[in-house]
Amino acid sequence: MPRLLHTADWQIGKQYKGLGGDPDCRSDLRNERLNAVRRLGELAVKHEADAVLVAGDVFDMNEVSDRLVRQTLNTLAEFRVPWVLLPGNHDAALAESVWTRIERLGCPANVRLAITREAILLAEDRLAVLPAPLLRRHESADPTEGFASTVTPPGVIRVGLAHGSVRNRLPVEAESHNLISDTAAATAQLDYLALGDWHGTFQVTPNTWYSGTPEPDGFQQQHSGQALLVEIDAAGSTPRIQKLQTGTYRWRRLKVDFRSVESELAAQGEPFGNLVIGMRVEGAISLRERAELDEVIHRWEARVKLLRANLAPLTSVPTDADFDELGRQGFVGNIVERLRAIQRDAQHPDHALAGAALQRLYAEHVLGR
Amino acid sequence: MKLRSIRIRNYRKLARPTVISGLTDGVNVIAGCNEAGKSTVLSAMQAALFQRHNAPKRVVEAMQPFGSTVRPEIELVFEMEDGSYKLTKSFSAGGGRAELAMPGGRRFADHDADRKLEELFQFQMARNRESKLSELGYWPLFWVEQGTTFQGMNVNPDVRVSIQSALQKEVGDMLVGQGGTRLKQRVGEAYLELWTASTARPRGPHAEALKELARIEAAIAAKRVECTSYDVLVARYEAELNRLQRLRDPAAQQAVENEAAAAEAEYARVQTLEQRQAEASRELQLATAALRESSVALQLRTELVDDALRREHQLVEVRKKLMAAEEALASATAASNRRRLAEAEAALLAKDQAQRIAGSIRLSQADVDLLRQRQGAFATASARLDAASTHIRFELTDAAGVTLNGSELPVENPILIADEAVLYIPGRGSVRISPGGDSLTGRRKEFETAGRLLQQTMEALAVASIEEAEKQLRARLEASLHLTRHSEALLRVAPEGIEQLRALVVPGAVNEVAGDLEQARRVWVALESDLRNAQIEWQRAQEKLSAARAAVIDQDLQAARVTHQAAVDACARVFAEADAACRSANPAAARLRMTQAKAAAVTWRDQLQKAESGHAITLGELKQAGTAGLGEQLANLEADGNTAKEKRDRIAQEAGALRLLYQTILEAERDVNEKFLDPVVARVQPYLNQVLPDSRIHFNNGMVLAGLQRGAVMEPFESLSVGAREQLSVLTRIAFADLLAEQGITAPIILDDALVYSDQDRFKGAMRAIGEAGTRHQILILTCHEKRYQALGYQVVRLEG
Repeated sequence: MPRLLHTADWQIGKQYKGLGGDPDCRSDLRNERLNAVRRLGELAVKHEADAVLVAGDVFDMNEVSDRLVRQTLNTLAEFRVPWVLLPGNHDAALAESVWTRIERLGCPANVRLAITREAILLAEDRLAVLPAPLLRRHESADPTEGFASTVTPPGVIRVGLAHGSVRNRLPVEAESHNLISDTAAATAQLDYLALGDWHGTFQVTPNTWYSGTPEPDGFQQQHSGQALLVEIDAAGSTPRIQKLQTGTYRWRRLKVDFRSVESELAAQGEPFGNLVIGMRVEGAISLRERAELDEVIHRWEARVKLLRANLAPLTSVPTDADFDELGRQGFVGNIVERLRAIQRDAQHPDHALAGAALQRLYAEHVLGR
Repeated sequence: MKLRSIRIRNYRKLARPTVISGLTDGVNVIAGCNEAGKSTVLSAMQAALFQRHNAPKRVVEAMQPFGSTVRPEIELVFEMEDGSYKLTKSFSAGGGRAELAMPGGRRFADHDADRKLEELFQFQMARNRESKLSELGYWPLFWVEQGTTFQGMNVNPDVRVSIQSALQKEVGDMLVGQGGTRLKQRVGEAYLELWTASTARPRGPHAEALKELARIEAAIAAKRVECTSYDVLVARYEAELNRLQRLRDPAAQQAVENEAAAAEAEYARVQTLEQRQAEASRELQLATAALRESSVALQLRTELVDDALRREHQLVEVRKKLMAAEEALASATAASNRRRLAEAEAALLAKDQAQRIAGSIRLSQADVDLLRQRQGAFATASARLDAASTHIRFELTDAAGVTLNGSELPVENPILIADEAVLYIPGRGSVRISPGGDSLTGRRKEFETAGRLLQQTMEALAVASIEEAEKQLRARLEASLHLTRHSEALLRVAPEGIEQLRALVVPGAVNEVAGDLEQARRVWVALESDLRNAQIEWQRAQEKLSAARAAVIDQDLQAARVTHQAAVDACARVFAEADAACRSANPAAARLRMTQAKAAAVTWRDQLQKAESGHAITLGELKQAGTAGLGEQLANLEADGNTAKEKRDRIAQEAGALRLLYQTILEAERDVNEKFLDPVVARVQPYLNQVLPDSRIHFNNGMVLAGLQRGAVMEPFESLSVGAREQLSVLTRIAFADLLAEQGITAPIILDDALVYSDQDRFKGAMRAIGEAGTRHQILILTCHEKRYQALGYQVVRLEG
């Protein structure tokens, strides 16, 4: 009974350049993608998989360093399981690509590069993998088109391996490239179609699945951080699918009122150290509250892996109590009045800075007293 | 505090005891001329109040009269709210004394007295030196030293603080205060962490963040260029690969080679045709050349024949002309001989005649010469006879009947008488005339001899006169001349001799043409020469023709030409056929096809080789570039860039907020300073109205008199007149005194020659203000212009020097 581990979208070498924040944190996230591969290898060994199918975007780009390519190949070579690697849109098999480089660097014996449409026989020839490698970043034709005409010996289990976006599943198709028919498996008489590109695990049909990325890498992902263990009894039978957890970091996008920042963060539960939080904080906030919020955020920044707090939506609304603390009369009262006047005057060149100046005044005069 | 009396001794120039007493509550004028010691009085009061009793030696020495070591002594009596005080101080290098007697009989000595003074007047005495103005609390506001008023009122910071605290009640917590000062300091420090002080440019972490971002952005730009180059390289590599695959295709390569071979074979066939055509062309050319040669030979022969005929004809013509010329010459010669003979005959006749004439005349030149000699001698003898004869001139009124020697009187008058003569005059008789002397007779004889000789000669020569003789001689000479001339003519006309000439001329009429014999001869000579030439030419032509014919006869030449013409026609037919065959094979096209096909094959091989090596080179470059992981580097840099941008935004926001906050603090502080002095401005206004109506004073930051506003115009203090400046100074001090008095702080206002620059009107105005202030403050005026004050009705205390 052939057993496959279906995974995709490793995107090794991803730099998380849009994430911002501490470079060390980005470095940890980057390294974790290779750790996830190791976990996949361990799972494959544990579940005695006949092969690991990687449905594209093995690397984040073709132009990763040799060092990283070698590290990846070394990791794959550690496990006595065949790895079938498919080029995706991130690592398309161009004339010169990470794949040609792997061929030059020396490909480990247990690694098969699915860079042509030639079927790959696995599991003592009981199973044929039909690859649909992307030869360029964007293919206008359905990459799985050739599957139907690919002849395999009778009785051999046919498994498609492709990378792209399945039609008729997204409300609005984000892109028009690399579109895959949602009936591709049936059309090509596949027993299973292993897809990559979408980072969350997703079932298209009972035998067409996206495995999702093994290590989450974005805030807007559902069901990522998994791999699929696929068992196919024989040609023509429906495969059994088991989801395996592989992810480390928990990516969370939060939208909170400033008053519930603390509770919302706490609600994410232990261990906090693997949380990557993108948090939008809203509300009309007083000077004192803002000073307190800053403190809360600083505290949590040290507790989670990464806390990206967007405080821009906050409206600074100093309260009577704030003004009482600052002093309504006299010298400081005068300063407060001036800053408030600037804050009210949208035409004032320093209008955008007045809130921050007021907050700073509060920090220096009230808290620093 | 109000001063009541001052007693001074041994203080600087006031060595003798000086007493000023009876000082009242209001305005007190203390007058003294220059050098009387007004300023010394002020100095002494300051020393008593503010200098420690045990002032150091240096300070004491400054108080002692010049060159003296006596103890300076000062006694002040003054009044406070609780009663009268008496302060006595004496200074000495070895240790001074102080005593303060207070209301209620309390007394303090030395240190205690000094401490009590500090307490009373809110200041601190300096320990081991002279007390400075800045340490004297509000006092310097009230005491104005000579010649400083016009410098304005530059209030030092300590005085400011004491005034500020004094004004605290009135302006409330408007003031910056301690908290405000600390705030300003903290914010200022934070501000200067991020901004430069003078130019407000980013510095420290702020500048670093900007620099770091710029650095990363530059690195990103550079890396993007590298990545783009890499992409271009990959694209090139792909293109090269595709091309290589196409070039490597064996079928395509074979097709090119086959075409090259086929084109070559076809071209070989066409080349054979071309050779054949070229051969035919050459043969045709040769035949044509032979034909041309035989035609030329025939032509030459014809020309030779024609030439011989023409020469012969020319010879006949010349011969005819020569015969005509010969006839003409003969005719002309006959005519010439006949004419010559006639001329010769005439000359012979004339010659004979001349010979005859010349022979008939004997007279010679010598004969004529002799005759002329005899004639001359006779004339000479006649003249000599005449000269000896008597000359008679008749001047008769009536000569009728008068005779000489019996003859009528000769016609000539006078008459020469050489012989005895008788003149007869009718009716009167005769006159005998005997010419004088013996010589007359000799001369007569001479005369007669000469006459005879002449006569004899003429007879001998058979001439009647000398003229005749000369005539005969001339005729003889002429005949000789003729003879010579005609002899010559004869010789010339008939050089051969007349006899021979006569033989040449045929008698009777002959057909003779008279013409130019010479011309006829020249024509004949020329024609004879022509004839010789014509004969030569004719002979030559004949020779040439004969020679040619000896080589080839005319018939052979004609036969050769016919043969060659036939050969040319045959060759032309052969060539036309070969040429048509060649043309139909289109050699240019075949050549082009072969060249192109061969070139294509070569190019294919060449391109394949180049593509192989190019591909290898590009792959080498790719390998090198790919190793570094450019995309990874770029992404990493971009991530760093985002972080740097965030940091820049954060720090820029903070810096902006700090700048705004700090600016606002400074503005608020300026505002406070202005507001703080509002009470002073309000208080000075009534005094100002007295001196400078419709004007208003302004202070700037730090309580410095900034200027005077008149209407809308703001005049800076420095540009005001000296008089206006001192007036403003004095009035402002009074206002400050009013302000402080309201806070319970009183001190006498002391003005040391404060209004010396003011004109009379302004002076009066200022004095009105001072007089008005005098109702609330004790005012001491030290002056050397006592009359000005007396004129205003003030009591003047005189200070005697």
